[in-house]
Amino acid sequence: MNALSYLFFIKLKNYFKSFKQNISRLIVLIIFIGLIVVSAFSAKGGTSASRDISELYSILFALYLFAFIAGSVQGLHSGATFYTLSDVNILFLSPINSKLILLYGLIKQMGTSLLIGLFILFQYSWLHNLYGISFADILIILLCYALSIFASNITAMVIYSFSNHDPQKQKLVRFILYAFCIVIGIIIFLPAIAKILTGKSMIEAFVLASSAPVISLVPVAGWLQVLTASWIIGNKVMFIFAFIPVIIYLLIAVWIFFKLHPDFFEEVLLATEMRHTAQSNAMMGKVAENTPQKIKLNKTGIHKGSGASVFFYKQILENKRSRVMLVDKNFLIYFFITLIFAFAMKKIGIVAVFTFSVYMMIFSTALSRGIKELAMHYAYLIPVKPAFKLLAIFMESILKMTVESAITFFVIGLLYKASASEIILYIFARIGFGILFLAGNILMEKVLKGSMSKVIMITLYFIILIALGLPGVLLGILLSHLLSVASAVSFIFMISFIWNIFVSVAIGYLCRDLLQYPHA
Amino acid sequence: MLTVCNVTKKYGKFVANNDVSLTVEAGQTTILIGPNGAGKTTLIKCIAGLLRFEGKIEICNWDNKSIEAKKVFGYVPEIPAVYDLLTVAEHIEFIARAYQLKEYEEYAEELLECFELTDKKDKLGRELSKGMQQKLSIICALLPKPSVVVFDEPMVGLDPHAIKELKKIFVTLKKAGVSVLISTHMLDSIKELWDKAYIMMDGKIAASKEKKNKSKDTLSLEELFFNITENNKTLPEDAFVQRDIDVQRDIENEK
Repeated sequence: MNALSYLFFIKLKNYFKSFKQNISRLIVLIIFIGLIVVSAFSAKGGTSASRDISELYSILFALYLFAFIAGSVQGLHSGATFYTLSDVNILFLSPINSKLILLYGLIKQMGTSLLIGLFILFQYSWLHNLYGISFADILIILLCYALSIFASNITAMVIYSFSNHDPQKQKLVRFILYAFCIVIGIIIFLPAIAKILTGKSMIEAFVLASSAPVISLVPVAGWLQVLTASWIIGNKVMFIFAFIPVIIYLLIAVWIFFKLHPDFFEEVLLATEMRHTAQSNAMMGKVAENTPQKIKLNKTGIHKGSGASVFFYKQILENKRSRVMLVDKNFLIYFFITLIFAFAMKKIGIVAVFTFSVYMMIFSTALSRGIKELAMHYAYLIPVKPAFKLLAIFMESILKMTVESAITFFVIGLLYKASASEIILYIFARIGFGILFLAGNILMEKVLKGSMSKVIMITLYFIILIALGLPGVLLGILLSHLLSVASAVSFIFMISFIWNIFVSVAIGYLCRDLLQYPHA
Repeated sequence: MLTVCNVTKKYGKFVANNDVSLTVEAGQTTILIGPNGAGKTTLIKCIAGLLRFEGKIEICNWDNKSIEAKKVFGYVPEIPAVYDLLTVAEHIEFIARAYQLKEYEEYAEELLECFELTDKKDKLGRELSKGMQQKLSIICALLPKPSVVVFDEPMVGLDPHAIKELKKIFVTLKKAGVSVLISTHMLDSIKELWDKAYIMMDGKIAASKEKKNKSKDTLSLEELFFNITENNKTLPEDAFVQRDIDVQRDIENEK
């Protein structure tokens, strides 16, 4: 057995052996499989769809396109990598043919791409209920998503290899990428607008535009959309034919990459080192800062704050440096997704949009500056009462979520023609959930940090947040029923806001000494 | 003065520190040495109040987690921790405001000059090299003029000039009556500086040695360290020679 196959299989063997040695990993695996099984069985029987399957094809096109473009753009910055730092330090120095090392990397990356897409399996239940797809169909969607990630990685490597350290070539690639996006925008938006003008609804118009035959020509995302659709409708011949352009694209990309630089090690070094640093930081609890590459220092100095409050003013300064004034880039993405959801769910109502926006906030809260601050030792060493520090550290996050909630529900409220009082209630209810999620994060830091694996932590994070927030909603439903309240939904929101603030304050009080004992 | 009394730190069943006790008197420079995985960093994090533990740790007779203790305590972590989006000068301002320091500017300038960061005042934390980040981390720890300072591998990543300056700082801190605890692997670099040494092995203090009692000891610190840590598990002297012969033979066979 040669060294690479030995390495590949021994790593695989050790991975499975690790479940035996690390019981928490085994529990996570069992929970994970259990959730997939539950998801599969919770789907209603039969294959009848309640919505037009073309909607699903449009969603998948958007998903594949986003994965492909977002991954490919990395090629303009640091490139992409299939390797770990140990591969770089050991394999790259060994007397093994670089083509074999590339092949090893490609096989490894395909596995990684499949793992990245596993979240798709959890979507089976609602996809089956709405579009009548089978479990085999969801596996094909997973495969296509993995292929889009894989293709984006190879494309990023080609782009980096071609344009690295050459501003002219980078400009050219950037132009091609922009042109690609603009062309896709034109072939979707123009027909969609035309259809809206003829009286079609917005969703219908965009679905028709993004499932038009011309879309099947869009590299990677369009081909993968055809691949998925042909499988779902049972056209096996088309399915096999749809594979051809994808395979050819991947082969050509790998060939170009290798032809550009047969000694490709330099091309993946930077991305490997950056990924290793990010992983090391994550293991130490330091969340990577999503900042612009170039920062202009116009004014320097914090200028305000003394004792604990300096954390707040420091974070405001950090926001300015990150070009974040009131809202950040992540919020704009979440806001945009929520807006699309709001358009799609217009028939169902604003409560569904509210639930979705709260769900999105779970992720944004975990990335808040306050949570990042807890990873730095200054938060613990500075000689101020821990409760004051805790408040000062999270002040910026609370301010930010207030602004975000106001923007989100002002726009969505107008879209749904909600009254001013309803809009204000939704804004407060969202802020209440945001503060509750922050409190949930504090609870995680206080009780669970360092005591178990990251995956269990994330799973428990979701369970804890649901356990904290759900009683408020149930209490609201119960009280509205008992008191026969006329405007039940508004009443439930009000009760859940009060509950969330009450629980958050209670957690804040119980965890007030968090900044004395950061780790387990 | 720093007092560590019967400190035990467990991670599940694994005992990282087992009933560790040590003291660092005012004006004393104490070193903590030991092989990788001996439990030095865990102990230092317990002292800094970053980990929960069983036992007692006092900084100038205050519980190490009290605000009073934090006011007189400085900590330089093994991995430099600086804010990506603050400049060097802003780090200093941040510490000064957080510790509510008055008239710190002159001392800050001295520290910046000492570590050759004066011309880097407007550089962001993320723009600094690892060594520069370590220098900034040291400046942040020393700015509040603490009475107890703990350094975890402070020389790793520093250039020779910075190491020289750091050694001078150790001497200055000692003269100023500061209790200094340094965890290090670089026995050669600190051999003139230490007053007391603790050797850690498997989470315990395996031995301690005071310089002033040198005449009573028969072993040097280095000899004592290797005696404890190596346990005579040295490679045979001809191991590498034999390997060279084997490689040469393989090449000739291939020919």
